[in-house]
Amino acid sequence: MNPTAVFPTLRLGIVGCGAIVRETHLPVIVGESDVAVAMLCDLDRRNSERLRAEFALDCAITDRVGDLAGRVDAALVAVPPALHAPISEQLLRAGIDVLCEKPLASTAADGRRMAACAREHARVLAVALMSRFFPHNAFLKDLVEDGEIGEPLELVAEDGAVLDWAMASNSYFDRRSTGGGVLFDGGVHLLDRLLWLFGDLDDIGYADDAFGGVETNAHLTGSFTIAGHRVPARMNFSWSHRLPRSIRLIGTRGTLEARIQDPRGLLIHRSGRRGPLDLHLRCAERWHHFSAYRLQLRDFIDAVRTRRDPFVTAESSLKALEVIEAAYARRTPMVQPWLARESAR
Amino acid sequence: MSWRKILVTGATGFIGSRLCEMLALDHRVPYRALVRNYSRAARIARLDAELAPGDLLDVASLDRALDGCDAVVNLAHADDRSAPRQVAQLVAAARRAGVQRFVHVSSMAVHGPEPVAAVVDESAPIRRWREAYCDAKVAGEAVVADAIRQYGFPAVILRPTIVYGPYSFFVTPIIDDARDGRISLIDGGRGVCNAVYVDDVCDAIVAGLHDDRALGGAFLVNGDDPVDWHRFIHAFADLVSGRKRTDDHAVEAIRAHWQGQHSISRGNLGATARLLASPDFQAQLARVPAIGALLRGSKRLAAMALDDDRKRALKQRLRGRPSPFADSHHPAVRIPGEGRVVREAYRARVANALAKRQLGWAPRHRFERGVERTHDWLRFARMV
Repeated sequence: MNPTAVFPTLRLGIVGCGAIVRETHLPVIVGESDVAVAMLCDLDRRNSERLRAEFALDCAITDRVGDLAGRVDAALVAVPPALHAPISEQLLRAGIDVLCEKPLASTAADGRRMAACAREHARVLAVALMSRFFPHNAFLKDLVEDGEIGEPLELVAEDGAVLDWAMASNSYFDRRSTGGGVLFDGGVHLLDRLLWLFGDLDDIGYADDAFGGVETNAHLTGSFTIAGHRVPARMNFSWSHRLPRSIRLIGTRGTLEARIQDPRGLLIHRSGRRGPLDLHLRCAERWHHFSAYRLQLRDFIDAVRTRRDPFVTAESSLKALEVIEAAYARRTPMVQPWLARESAR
Repeated sequence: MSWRKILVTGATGFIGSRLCEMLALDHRVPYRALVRNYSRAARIARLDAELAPGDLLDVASLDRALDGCDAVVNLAHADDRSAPRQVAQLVAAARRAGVQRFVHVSSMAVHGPEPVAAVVDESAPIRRWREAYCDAKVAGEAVVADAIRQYGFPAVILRPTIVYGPYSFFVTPIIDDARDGRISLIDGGRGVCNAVYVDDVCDAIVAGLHDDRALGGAFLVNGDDPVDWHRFIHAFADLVSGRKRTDDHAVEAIRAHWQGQHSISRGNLGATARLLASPDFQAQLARVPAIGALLRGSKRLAAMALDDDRKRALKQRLRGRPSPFADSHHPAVRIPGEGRVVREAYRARVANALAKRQLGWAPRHRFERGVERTHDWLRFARMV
């Protein structure tokens, strides 16, 4: 059934017109027939005007969040994380449903307040943790619980690449705009997925390479309870160098690997009688770079229309923020021996 | 002498990032890092220091960045063509701001790509060499030297040699090659390397900031150990385990290869492809709405058609960098670029006596120790 036959076109506002909106959200928004961008909002009007021209949008432009009230049904909030809470709450109070970029907020306390605000005003508050939509997630959990790799012994999750994301400002690195560095901003995707799949992380330990600024490398440890077993976990995140970009669950009978660059596939590594054996499982027929963003948008639109909870609720995304806060509170310096000053010869 | 605040240009580069680390962690002096592209600022954003947006070609941004600074370290070198204008604008802005010390980091390249003498010291000739990088460095230095002569501008000029260490772009291609099962030498690696560890260069910069005897002077900054390219390349390639094949290229063969490649059409096509693939160029071009939309549309199509590894390999190929995804069982022979020939066919030893005498500086790192410390980082970065 064509959704427009039942519901009028959803009027969407976008608050924050930076790189993430241009590169990932708008390409899928403009491809959907039942949603129309009604208003772009950015403190710098040039950003809004540029987006409007580039995507040929027929929409209004403003630099005041308050102008969205009554003119949009829902809004995408894609501003620096420290502004997620005040802007989202203002929109929710104005009766606007919100899809908020990740992480939900700079602090778990802000996130809890946002969730409460959404409930109080009976609004949808979804979080753009798009990797929850990866097809291999459920298969990973099922296969490990079904004993495919035997008893799980260790979990290793890593995500690292040289940071080359287009940035219009210092907001990635400014403590007034963000809650942290690579763990907070990039690591939250992987961490959120692990917490969603395997429950709480206990015995948290943490080290990073920051010296009063934001971390570029982070090492988080802890333990999950998976298939009834206590499983030690190591998680590494980097903005300075490449890491495998995957979740690996090592068990007594083999290793299950979910690679970020292959959201529809899973790998099983086994030692067979004839040597190492790699099995590739296909978890979805079709998938491309924008599939997760499209599923996220469709879920949000449906939640708004049917007044149900979104797939990624604010409450469910709080776990990752709480773990990140606990990690930062236990921070130890990462060993970087090449930084020590050499004594004179 | 202690400075109120030091402006560091080129702060997100290889030497600049390490200087920021040392200023913050070892010397604990206040500085402001000038940042043109925040995508490259992650390393210095770890430090509790000020990042100021700015561009050496944007005079207003320089004036803002210099506000409250009484010293400057100039490490910026974006491209050979605009380098002299960048230095001129920075020197002019520094004079307007009343800067009391200006350390200009130039290069040994000012003495030319193929010195005749066996030992190069600061008395070696400096002129236009008809080699883009050397000439850009000569022109930049000339701006500073003129300001010293004409206005008594309180500047110090440093000319580092082959700077290596963590994050060095002289080291990482050797590691990439070794991981592909390959060691690449030019003329058996007999050329003189003149290797200096990055921390030693930063020490020389700090000495230039603090030692009044250095004012108005120009100093070559080199390590103490005589190192040839065979030793340099093997020192790092041997950190990578596994079998490697050595490809030894004769200078004449490399030159003949590149001359053959330099037909007008091929040169133009290659240069255009690299220009189109450059992020800076794309950012500028995307400001034209129609072209921006076209670029994004093409990227989206590519994103749907290619997986991440293939995308990265294509990007690296377009940017003229070696692909880390080469088939390790059959490493193809890659002909070294002309830049490598200039560096690795160098036959002169570069002196460091004047810097030791007048700058009150000496390198702390023997070559082996520099390799050891770089190895620490390579392990951390999972490259070895």
